[in-house]
Amino acid sequence: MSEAGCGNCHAIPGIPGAAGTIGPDLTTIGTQASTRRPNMDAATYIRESIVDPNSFIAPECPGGACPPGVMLQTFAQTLNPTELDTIVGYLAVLGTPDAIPLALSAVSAPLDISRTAETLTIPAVPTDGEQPDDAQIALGRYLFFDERLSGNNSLSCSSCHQPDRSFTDGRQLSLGFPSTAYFRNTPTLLNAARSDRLYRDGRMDGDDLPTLVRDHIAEAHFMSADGRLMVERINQVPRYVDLFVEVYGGEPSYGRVLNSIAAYVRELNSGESPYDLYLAGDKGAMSEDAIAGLELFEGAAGCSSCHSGPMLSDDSFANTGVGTDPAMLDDSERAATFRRFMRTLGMPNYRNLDTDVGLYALTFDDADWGSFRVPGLREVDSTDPYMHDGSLATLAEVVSFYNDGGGSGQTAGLPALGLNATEQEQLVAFLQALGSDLPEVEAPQLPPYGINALGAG
Amino acid sequence: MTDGNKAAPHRSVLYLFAAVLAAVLVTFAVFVPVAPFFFDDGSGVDDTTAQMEAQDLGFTPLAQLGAIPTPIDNPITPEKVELGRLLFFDPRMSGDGSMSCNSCHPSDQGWSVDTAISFGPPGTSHWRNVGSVVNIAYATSYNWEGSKKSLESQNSGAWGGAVAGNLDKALGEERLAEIPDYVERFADIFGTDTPLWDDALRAVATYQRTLVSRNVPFDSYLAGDQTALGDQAAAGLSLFTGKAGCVSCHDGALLSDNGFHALGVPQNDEFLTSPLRQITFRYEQWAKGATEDVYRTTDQDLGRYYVTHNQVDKGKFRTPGLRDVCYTKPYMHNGIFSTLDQVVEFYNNGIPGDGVENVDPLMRPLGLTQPEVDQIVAFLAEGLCGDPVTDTAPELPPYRDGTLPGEER
Repeated sequence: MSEAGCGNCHAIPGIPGAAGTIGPDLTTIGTQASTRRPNMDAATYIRESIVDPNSFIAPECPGGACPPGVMLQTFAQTLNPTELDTIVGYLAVLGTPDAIPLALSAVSAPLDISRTAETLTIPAVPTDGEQPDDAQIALGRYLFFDERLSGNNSLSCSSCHQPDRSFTDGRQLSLGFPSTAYFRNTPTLLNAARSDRLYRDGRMDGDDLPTLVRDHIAEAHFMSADGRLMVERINQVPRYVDLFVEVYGGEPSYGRVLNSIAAYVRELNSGESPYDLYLAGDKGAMSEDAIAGLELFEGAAGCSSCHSGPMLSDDSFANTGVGTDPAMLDDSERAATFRRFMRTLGMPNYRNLDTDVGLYALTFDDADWGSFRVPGLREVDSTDPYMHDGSLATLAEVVSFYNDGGGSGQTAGLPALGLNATEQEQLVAFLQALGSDLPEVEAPQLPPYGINALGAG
Repeated sequence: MTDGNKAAPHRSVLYLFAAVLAAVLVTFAVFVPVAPFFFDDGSGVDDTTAQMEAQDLGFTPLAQLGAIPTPIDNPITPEKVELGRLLFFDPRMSGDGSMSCNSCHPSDQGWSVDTAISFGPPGTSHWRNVGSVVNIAYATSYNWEGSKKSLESQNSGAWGGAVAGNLDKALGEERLAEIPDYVERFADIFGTDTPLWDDALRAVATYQRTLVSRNVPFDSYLAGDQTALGDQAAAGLSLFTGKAGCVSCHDGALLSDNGFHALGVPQNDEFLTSPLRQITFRYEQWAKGATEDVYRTTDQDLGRYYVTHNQVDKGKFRTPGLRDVCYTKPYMHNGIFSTLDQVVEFYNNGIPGDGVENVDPLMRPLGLTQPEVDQIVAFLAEGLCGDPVTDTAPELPPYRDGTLPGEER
């Protein structure tokens, strides 16, 4: 219906942008249609109204009595039978208990942005009298930037999740621990707390950020730190010890380190994007191109069949045929890291594996081969490069990729879209409207080591 | 027990005869110098008591090193030695690719880096003095507390430990599999289609076992060449086996009883002033399974206690062998002494540092005169040191992608 332009004249629940005021409001048409013409059921009436609008003029329009002869009379030609059936089916139940809860409707529903842009502002170093939560977040912020959390003091969380790059590293593939070379693209940390699953292959629970942090600190390919050694480093920083006492009422521990960083990461969220403002009624918030892109996104391009909901992800997994650049495994360090990873997950024949199998390595379900988590798209304007392997450098490349029906071997059912260049640009314009103003985050000055008394508790 | 017979390869009857002769001379050389125990040396020590202690203690005769002991499942072959040598020098066997075994065990520093306390990966410290690898084949347990009973298992800790190599085992294997030359060598030597961690440990241990110093002047002396030791060193030997009682613990071919003793070595102040040392100090208490009470209260390295969890072992450390001791400064488990003179002086004073439990009763004033101290040092520094065992870094095989360790990628 977006494509057909119904919303230009009608208000139609569930259809993005369908807030027209020329024709009748269709919010409850499903309950009214059967009353309009004698011996004509709702569906028949609606079908007649679309293909032959002047056979009956509805009594009431937002502007008063409905004007006859205004509605286009070309829908019988422009809509194919299937499309017509779909539209009729949708309208015939509007306002009835059978109304179809389309995925699309979630996109157009008001976004649940519980945090505003201001929440990304990093709290100042706590002083006496501040709230414990703030102190925990502030402590987590220190730790987030502290390279002493890695095995050889070379990496902090912020090394790969760089605040000035929307918490990515801007690289095709993450560097990982020195001499390891990771094999996937670093995703943004923004909105991590709102993800159902975490990591490209979804191997972590989005509700369990502390474990996500732990995985990063401990894994050989990330920060490769012995947990106890890391905690003793924290114990050697008097300011940290004070902060742990303040926040937790006790000394630093591994769990408290994780909880602190998780508390900080929970604060890393998108603010309101132009798209949000547009949805909230500010029609000038997005450019015309972006608005056209939105229509394509939810319509002809079908992006919203996966990228739906407030985070523009349905939290599903898909093999879109991105595949794996074979050159990735040309690097011996990366190959070793990749094979160790697959080996620790128990992948059969991992030594001969030449592609990143994604979710399959976790489920061993053939349907999951090469599937990766559908990422949310907020801040997608600044989190390049894209895809699990970082193989697409720009949003234009991403749109082009999908326009071609994805990559070879895709199992996501992606059709070739047949979008022309303008339409692709419009989609890009919409995607660029998904970024919000992210306040600058400055790396804190880290407290230094001190000297402890040996054997003094 | 090791004796002189095992030391000599038996290639001919003549050689066998020489070996038997050497064995006789060993006996002679060792037991005659004990004589000073029987004479009043003016030290004020009761000779009768000293004699009884010498008899009670007993010790294994000093001797030339015998054949290299090898585990039944890890015989020495030239191919394995060469593979182990490559691995010993290969920094890819550390987590961040920055360190090899050779980093802490450099051959030009007596196979033990010259710092009092060894280092770990960047941002970490070790907490003890690094031991030499030379003659390690003859040890019966490994590291200062003897927590490892095989060289192979010791090496696993060195590659994988957080304040050592910090290498994940599976990652190590996958890296080895990316080095075609290694894959070929492992296949030839161990018959596997891919390098395995345990085999890599076997190879490195095999290389280490070949690092043997059997050419020190004292060996020639034991073999019958009375001129091999100068007058000072010879006098030092007499004191070593006699009045000074060194041989009570430093006996046998290795000059170590492979036992554990608390000496009350002074604390190394680095643990009071260095954040990294303090971090590792506490980390080790935890990592070695000490009780929370010990973790929170000890200001001492408790040594053997971490292995046995027995109070009587607190403060005890493994007796190191003394061959090539002149190359392995600084000395003691915490590297507190930088010269052999300081070591001998410490024993001569016989005054343990504060706070050390279970100090060995042998730690008492020895009453050595300065000339005698010098003589013992001469025996250690000249008599027990020959041409150093050396090796140079081999050319390492590249990764499959053609890069070498540390190379810009």
